[in-house]
Amino acid sequence: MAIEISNLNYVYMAGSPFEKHALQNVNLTISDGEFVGIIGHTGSGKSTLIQHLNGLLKPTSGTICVDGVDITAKGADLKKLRQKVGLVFQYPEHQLFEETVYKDIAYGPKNMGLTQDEIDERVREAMNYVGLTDKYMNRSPFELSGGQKRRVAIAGVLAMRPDVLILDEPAAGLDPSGREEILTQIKALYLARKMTVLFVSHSMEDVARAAGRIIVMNRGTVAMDGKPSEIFSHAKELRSMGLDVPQITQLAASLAERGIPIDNNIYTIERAKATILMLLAQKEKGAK
Amino acid sequence: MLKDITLGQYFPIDSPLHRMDPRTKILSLILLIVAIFLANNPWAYVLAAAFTLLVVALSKVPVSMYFRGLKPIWFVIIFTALLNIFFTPGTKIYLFGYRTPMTWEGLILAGKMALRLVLLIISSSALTYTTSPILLTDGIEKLLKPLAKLGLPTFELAMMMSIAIRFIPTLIEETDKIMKAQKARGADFESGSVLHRVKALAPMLVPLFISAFRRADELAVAMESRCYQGGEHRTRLNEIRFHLIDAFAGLLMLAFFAAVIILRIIL
Amino acid sequence: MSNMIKTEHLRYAYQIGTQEKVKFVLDDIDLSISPGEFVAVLGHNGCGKSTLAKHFNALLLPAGGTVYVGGMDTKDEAHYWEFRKNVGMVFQNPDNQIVATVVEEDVAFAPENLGVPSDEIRKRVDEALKTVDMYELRRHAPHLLSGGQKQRVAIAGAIAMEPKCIVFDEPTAMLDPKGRKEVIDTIVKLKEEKHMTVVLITHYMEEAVRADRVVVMDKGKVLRNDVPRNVFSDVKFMKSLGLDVPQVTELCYRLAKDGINIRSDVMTVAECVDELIKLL
Repeated sequence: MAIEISNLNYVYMAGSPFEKHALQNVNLTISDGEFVGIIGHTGSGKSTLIQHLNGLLKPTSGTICVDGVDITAKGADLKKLRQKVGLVFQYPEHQLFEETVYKDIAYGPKNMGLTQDEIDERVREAMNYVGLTDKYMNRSPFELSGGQKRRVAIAGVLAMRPDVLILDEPAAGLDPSGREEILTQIKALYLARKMTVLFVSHSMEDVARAAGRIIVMNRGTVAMDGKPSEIFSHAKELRSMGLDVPQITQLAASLAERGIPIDNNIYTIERAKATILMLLAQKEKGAK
Repeated sequence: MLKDITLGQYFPIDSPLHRMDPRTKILSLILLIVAIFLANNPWAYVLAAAFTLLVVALSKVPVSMYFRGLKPIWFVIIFTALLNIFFTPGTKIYLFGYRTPMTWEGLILAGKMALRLVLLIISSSALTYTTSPILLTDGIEKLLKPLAKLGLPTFELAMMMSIAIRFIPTLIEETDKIMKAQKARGADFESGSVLHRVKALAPMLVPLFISAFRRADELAVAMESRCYQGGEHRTRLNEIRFHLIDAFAGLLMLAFFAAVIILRIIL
Repeated sequence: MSNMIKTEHLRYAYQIGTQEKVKFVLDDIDLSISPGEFVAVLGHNGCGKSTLAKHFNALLLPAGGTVYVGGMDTKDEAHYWEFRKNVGMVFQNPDNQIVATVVEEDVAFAPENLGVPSDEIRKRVDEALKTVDMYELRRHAPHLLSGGQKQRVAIAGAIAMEPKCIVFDEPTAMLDPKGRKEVIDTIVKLKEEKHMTVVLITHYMEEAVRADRVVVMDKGKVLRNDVPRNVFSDVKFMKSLGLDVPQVTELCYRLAKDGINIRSDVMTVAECVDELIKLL
C-alpha cells in the first residue's frame, strides 16, 4: 500500500505564544512493501509525521494519499484508514486495559465489528506473530514482564491486519536481549506478512538492522532520504543533528581519515570485519 | 482541546505582581471578588473594571494569555447572559418596530453578570499567572496555619495540592497519548449513545489510572530518597515575606474596597 | 573510612503468595565501593540491580547479611536520615521524580526537607544548577524541558543534598542520544571534578566503559567485578548473559578469533583505530 505525502505542514497551537512549526513542506513517497526507518532526535517531527498517516493529526496544509485515497479530504473514512494503517505508539504497554491478554488483543478487531470466529482467528494469529503461546491467553496483561506486555500491545495492533505497520520506538526502555528479540520479531513479521513497515527510532543501530531505506528528520523537514549505506556515509552531519552514529561507522570514518582505503559507509560488525580481512589479504599479497 | 487549559499555569516573568507576597495576593483576590459582587451601580462597576485592568497591566502577562484563560468559560458567560436577557421580566424592547422577548432589565442584568464573571476569571488568572504554585500553596498554608492548631493537616494539604498541580500537564499529555493510541485501535469516543460513550471510556481511564498509580509510587520513592519526612522542621528556598510593595498593595486594595462600599451607600 | 558502601552476604527475597516459597532477588552479595569510585552495574532486566541500589540508601533493608553505608549498618534506625542524605538517588523516569513546578524549587526540595536555612539553600541550589549546567533555566517549568534537561534537574536535586555518593538507576533509559550524552557527561563530571562516589546502573555499554569498575549481575548474584577492560574483553561471557559489548570490542574479538594478531581488549574507537593502523 503506497503512501504519498505532498507539501505537508503542521503547526502546533497556531497563534499562541507556544506556536511551533512541527512539520515544514514534507514530501515523501513510500512504496508498497518497503521497510523504512525514520530517525531524528526528540522534537525533529518524526512522531508528528507518523500521527498524520492514520489521521490522528490533521495537517495544517498539504495532502496525504494512502492507497490512492486522500485521507485529508473532508469526510474521509478514518476508521477504515486506521485498520489499514496500524500505529504502535511508544511504550505501547501503557495502553493495555483489559483483564486478559486475549480480550486486550481482541479490542481492535471488535471495534471493526467482526464476528466472534473472525476475532478469535485474528487474536490467535497475532499472538503467534509476536511469539506468545496459548498459555498467555487468559493471563492478566498486568502480571507479565515488560517485554511480554509490549508484545501483547503490538499484537493488539497486528490483530487488525493492517497493510502498513508503523512502530514508534518499539525497543525503547528494553534491555539488550529484549531489544534484540523485538527487532528480530519485527523483521520476521515484515518478511512473513509482506507488509509495509515504518520504524521510528532515534537509534541508528536499530534502524540499520532491518530498514532498506532511511529517512532522517531534522527540525520538521526531511534532511536525508536514501539507502542505509548512503545515509551512514554522512556521519558528521548525522551527529550534528544530535543523532548517534554506530561505533563501527565512527571507526570506519576514523580509519579513512588516517589514510586507510576503507569505505566510510560501514554500519555492521560483519561488514567491518570482512572489509578489514580483505585489506589485510591485499596487504599480504602486496608484500609478496 | 485539552491543551488549551491554561488556568492555573504560572507565567515565569518578573513584575511588581510577581514580587508580592502570595498571602497579600490571596487576601486581595478575596477582597476583590467580594467587591465585585457588592458593586451595585455603574460607577462601582467602572471602578472594579479599572482596578482589574490595573492589576492586569501590573502583572506584565500578555493580555492574550488572559483571553486564553477566558476561552473555556465563554460558553457559560454567553449562556447566562442569554438566560438573563430573555427571562428577566421588565420593559420589552422594540427593535425595528417589532416587539422582542428581550427586556431592558434583562439586558442590563446580563451585562452586569457577564462583566462580573469576566472580572472574576481575569482577577483569579492574575493570581495564578503571577504566583508559582509552590508560593501559592505556601501562601494558603500560611494563611491556614491557625487552623493547624485545631488539628487540620495544613502542611500535608498544601503538599498534595502542589503535587497535583505539578502533575496536571503530565497527565493531560498522557491522556492525549492514550486516547490517540486507542483511536488507532478503532476506539470511538465521540459518537453513540451516552451509555455507549461511557463504556468507551474504559480503555482510556484504566490505563490512565494505572499510570497515575505507577507515577505516585515512583514519586513517593523519589521523595523519600530526598529526605522527605513531613512538615516539621521544613525550611524554604524562598521564605515568603511582607515587603514594602505588599504594604502599598494592601493599602490600595483597602482604598478600592472602601470606595466600592461608599459608592454602594451613597448612590 | 575505607568504604563508602559495603555489603556482606546481602540477601533479599520476595515472598511468592502466602506459601513458604520465596524468590531470592539478591543472593549472597559481597561488594565494596570506595569513596570517589565510579562503579557501573550491568545486567538484564530483573537481575536484581535496582533492588541492590535501593539498599544503598536504606530504602530497602536486607533480609539477610548486612549493608554498611559510611561504616554504619543500615539497619541502625538512629542513622536513618544520614543514609538518605549521604546517598542520593536518581531514577529512570524524569517525570516521576520532579516534585515542583519551577526548576529551582525542585532542586531545593531535599535541603528544604533537611531544614537547611534559606540563604544556605539558595547557595546550594545555585551551585548545583551550575554544576549540571541548568542555571540559565532555573525559573522554567520542568514539564517544558527536554528529557535530558529534566534528568539534569533531578541530578541537581540530589547534589543539593550534598551527598557523598549518588546512585543512578538507569538514568538514560528513556532519553534520546543527545539527552543520554548530556546526562553521562554530567555524571562523569561529578566523579572527576566533585570527587563524588558514583554507582551507575545501565544497559548502555558505552556508558559502562567510562567507569572505574564494572559489576555484572545475573539472577541476584554478582558474576563479575572487575575493571571494564577485563569484563568486556570476555565477549563470549557477556553475550551468554544477553548483554552487549562495545562494537569495536566485538570486532577485535572476532578478528582475533579468525587468527588475526590483534589485542582483543580494546574498548574505544581510538584504541581500535591505533590497533588496526598497526596491522594495515
